[in-house]
Amino acid sequence: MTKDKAKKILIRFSPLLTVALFLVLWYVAALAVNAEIIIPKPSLVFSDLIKLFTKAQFWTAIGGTLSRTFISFAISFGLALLLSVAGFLFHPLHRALSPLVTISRAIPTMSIILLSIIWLTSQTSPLLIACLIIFPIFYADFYSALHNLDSGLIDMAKLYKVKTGDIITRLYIPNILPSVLDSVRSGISLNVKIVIAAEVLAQTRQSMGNLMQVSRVMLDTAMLLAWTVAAIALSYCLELLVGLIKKYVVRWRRV
Amino acid sequence: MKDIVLKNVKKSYQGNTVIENFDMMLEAGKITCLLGVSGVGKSTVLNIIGGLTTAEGSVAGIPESISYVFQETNLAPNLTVSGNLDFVLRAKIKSKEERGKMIAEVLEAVGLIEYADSYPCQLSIGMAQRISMARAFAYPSELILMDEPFRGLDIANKSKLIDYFLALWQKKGKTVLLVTHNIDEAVLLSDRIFMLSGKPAKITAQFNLSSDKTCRKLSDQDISEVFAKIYDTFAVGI
Ligand SMILES: Nc1ncnc2c1ncn2[C@@H]1O[C@H](COP(=O)(O)OP(=O)(O)OP(=O)(O)O)[C@@H](O)[C@H]1O
Ligand SMILES: [Mg+2]
Repeated sequence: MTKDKAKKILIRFSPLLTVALFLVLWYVAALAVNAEIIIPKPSLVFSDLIKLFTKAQFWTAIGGTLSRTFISFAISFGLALLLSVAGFLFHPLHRALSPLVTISRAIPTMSIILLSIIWLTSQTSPLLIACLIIFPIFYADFYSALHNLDSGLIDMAKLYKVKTGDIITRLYIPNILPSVLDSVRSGISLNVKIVIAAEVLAQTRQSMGNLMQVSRVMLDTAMLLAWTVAAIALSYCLELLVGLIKKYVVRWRRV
Repeated sequence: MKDIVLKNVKKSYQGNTVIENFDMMLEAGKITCLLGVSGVGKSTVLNIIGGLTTAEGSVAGIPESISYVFQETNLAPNLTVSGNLDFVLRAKIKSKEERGKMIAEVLEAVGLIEYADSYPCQLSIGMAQRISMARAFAYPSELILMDEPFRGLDIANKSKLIDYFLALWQKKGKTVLLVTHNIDEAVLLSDRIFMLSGKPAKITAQFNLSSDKTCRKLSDQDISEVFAKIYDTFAVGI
């Protein structure tokens, strides 16, 4: 085996190695503590997870959380895309939006969650919370992607009198897409986390957050961890999906 | 087609005056060359004429349609070579078929027809430069601005492109403003040569050449005389 090949294999399997190491440490810790309620063995958590798979409640909770994630994501994404393009083309709008963006970035997540629980129903508050946190991140990222666009290309399009519609669809959007998709990729896992956090506090029906809260109240740590593993898997799948979309859409980029 | 006349033009960037008291005339249907050292303000002049930057003073006779061979090639990285040409032609030529024919023809002329479906990142610098020229030539315009269009090209490709450029210029009779560092190019291709120098810069010398451009040689009497004069001006230091 050549050195090169060994290196390639190492690169490929090193993440798996980390996961394996983590599981071993977890197992050792569980043995040392020897109290299921504090650190349950990994095997127990995974068997609980498998048990969950057979329950309808699990799937409705996943479906609920997922749909809340998608709805809040779609609203934040659409609004951020629309407003960042508008703000880029019309600078006063960008200036007008900047305090909103600054405030919603600085405001403690918990304040938003608690306030929206007071003001809204348990079904809608996770949506609002996720939008309030995700939208400014998307807006700032999309705006800077537009801002960093090569000004030479815009000059070129202007000189050759290319129609504004063509400039937007063939120049702006494709060229900001790589950074937009990078931002979406990290935004979507944050979105899942925020939706779950809001569900915990708002006690939303048919939600992962609520069932996590129930396992905590019943001191079922293994079940809580099983839900956590499910949430991680969910985020991972969503990120993977965005990665695939990026690979497909941005074929013109030299890797 | 009208002459393009710049009078008393001044351009400053954040208080730094680049050109001042600038007068220049581009005769309609002729090739005019702008010579000057690096950083003197040649690209700035092209950008003023192309309407990409504002300036004080009067600029008259700018036509509706302009082609520009930019100093940086300015090819859209997300579009293929033919997509880049199509991007600028779409508004001008409605028929997709006709655009395709024009694109194939001009890519053939610059020797890159087999790269029609490649992306800019897959081209060398000289190839990207030729595509940028192909775009300017294909675009139906009355004025072509060229910022060092032949740089980075080997002799074979350069002379092929010069022949194609001259043939196109003869056929369509466009007004051309050519920026270059290269005195050979200037004396072989132009009807008139302007020297840009000073800080702030203005036109400090002008040379006219009347012989037929399609059969000029550096060894021709009048050409070599102008060459020597320009060379001396540069050597003296501007
Ligand atoms: N956008 C800008 N902002 C500030 N200064 C600029 C800008 N563009 C050009 N300049 C300045 O204007 C001067 C002339 O620049 P220009 O690009 O026109 O030179 P040039 O003659 O084309 O040089 P070169 O042959 O190297 O391309 C330079 O001193 C440069 O620093
Ligand atoms: Mg320049």
